[in-house]
Order: sequence, then structure tokens, then C-alpha cells
Amino acid sequence: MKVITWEELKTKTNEAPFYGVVKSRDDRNRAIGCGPLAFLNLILMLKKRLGTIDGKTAYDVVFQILDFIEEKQNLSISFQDAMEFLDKNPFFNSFRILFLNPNGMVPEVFFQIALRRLEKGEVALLIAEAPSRGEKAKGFANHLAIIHSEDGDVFLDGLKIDLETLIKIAYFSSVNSLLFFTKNSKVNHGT
Amino acid sequence: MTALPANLIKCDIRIRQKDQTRMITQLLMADEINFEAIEGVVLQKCRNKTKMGRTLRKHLGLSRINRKKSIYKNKEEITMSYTQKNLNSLLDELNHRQAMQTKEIDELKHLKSLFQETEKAKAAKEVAWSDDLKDIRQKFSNYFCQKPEEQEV
Repeated sequence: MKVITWEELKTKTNEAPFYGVVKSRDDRNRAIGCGPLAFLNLILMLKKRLGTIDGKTAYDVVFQILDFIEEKQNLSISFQDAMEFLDKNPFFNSFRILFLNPNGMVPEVFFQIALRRLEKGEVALLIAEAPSRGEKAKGFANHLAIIHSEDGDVFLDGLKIDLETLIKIAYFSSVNSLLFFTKNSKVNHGT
Repeated sequence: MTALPANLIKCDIRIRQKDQTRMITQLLMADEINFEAIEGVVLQKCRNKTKMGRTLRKHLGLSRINRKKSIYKNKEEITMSYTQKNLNSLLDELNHRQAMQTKEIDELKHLKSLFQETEKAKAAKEVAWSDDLKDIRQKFSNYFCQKPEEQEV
């Protein structure tokens, strides 16, 4: 789990995930929103898993994201923008994306799929509803994060979690979804 | 090695005794902390017939103290451990580590508190504990190797 400053991004290439990125704005330090952070972590981690070396730093990547996704004053982003970013960014052409809504699935099936995919090294983008304390789910997604696995442990935005927490997150609200990114296999032409 | 002044042995460590005991014992419990740097302080304090001495002896065990003691063949190595500068930097490191640990625990608590358990989550948890998922479950977190014991209310 790492919290790093905006300037430090210039020297980082594939050391994600970062738990938070602190940016100076109007002479005040504040973290960038969950959306750009999740996409930054997602892209850097997928590059790492692919073994891609393109010389771009985390700083370059975050600008690529922020150019496309506009952060509002309260640091929220439009989910339409987020999905459009996934759709239009050529980087994601290298991946097939499996969309899962755990809430609508038989629990056992969800676990089989999710754990096997994480075990294979896939990274999942979590679209979730982070509720206010004590309130019931409103069916409104307001949080993006990434989930990945390393050495048999599961991490949410780089923070180690137990699977019970994963279950609670996945099943809390009907809008909660997981997008698993699988590397496209090479296509054989005419053989 | 350059000989250090003998008066360093009696260097006054300006920390409350209670705090000092706590910090030293915590330093000894932590794996990544450099033991040797505080060894002299601990040995000295363990010899004392004070509450702190008793606490340290209890934490360390007398045999361990004797073993550690034999590492030091001359006073110079021990006196090096007594410098205020060394201890201060170690205490700073300890405080930093504690702050980081507290921060991480708070974050985890916060994440857990964000998501309330639902009936579906309960059902999913039961599935997660089921024998069918035993193989795949064991590849993941230790939390899943065995079902936690029921807590008494």
C-alpha cells in the first residue's frame, strides 16, 4: 500500500497499485479521485502483467486519463465517461473484458469465476456503491477500485483484504460489478 | 574502533521511564528493528531492580539476556548503544512504524465499515466456507484456510 505525491509519479513506471495519489491544488494537498486512481492502477498493473515496457511513467498515464475523464469539483467522475474511456482507449484492445454482477449470480458460481480469474493473474475493476454509514443501499455506484491477487492474497487498491470483505463488497448492492481483464490470445491466420 | 568516552555509559535518556519501557519492549518485539543498537540499554535496565527491569526480564526471559550479554566482549560496543542520537533515531523509526500500522488498520476498518453485511453476503460467505471451494480457497488468503471460531457474545 503506497500513498505517493504527484511529483513522485514522474519516477514510477509499473510499481502500482498506489493506495492514494496526493496532488497539490490551490496550495492545498488533496488526493485525486477514486476513478482516475483506479484507472491509473489498472493500466499500470495490466502493463506489468503483460510485461509491456513503453517508457511511459505513471505521470504520463495519469494525464492520459485526466484528459479524457473530467474530475468534478467533488472529485467524482461520470461513469459514462469511465466506460467510454475503457471503450476508446486503444490500450484496452489487448484485453477481453468479462463483466460480472455478483449480486445477480449464484454465490458459488461467482466465487468460482472470480477466484479462478484472480488466481490466473487477472485484474478486476470494481464498480461499487460505497454507502454512507448506517444507510441502506441506494443503487447508485459511486466508487471505483481495483482488485488483484498476489501470492494467494487478495488486494483492494493495494490494501490486503480478506475474502469476507470481498464478499460484503460484491453483494452489498445490485449496482456492484466486477470487470475482469483477460489478455487477448494471439489469433492464428489461416493455419 | 575508536574508543568512546566512558561517560557515555551513564548517558541520561530523557524519556519517561514508563514510555521507555514500552518502547524498548516494542522494539525488541519488532523483527525489523536493529537489536544491537539498543542492546546496551536493555541489558543495563534489566539488571536494575526496578519495575522496568522486572518488566524487561519478564518479556525477554533471563536466559535470553545472558545469551545476548555474551555477544559483547568489551565495553566499547555496549557504550555505542547508549548514545542519545541512536536511541532517538530508533524511537523515531518506531513511532513512524506505529503510525503507518495504525493508518493501515484504520483504513481496513473504514473499508469494512463501508459495506454492511446483507443476507446475500451471508449466503455467499457460507458458500465460501463450503468444501467444494476448498482447493481454490486455500490458494488465497489465510483467512480462508479455516473457518473462524465463533466469538462469544
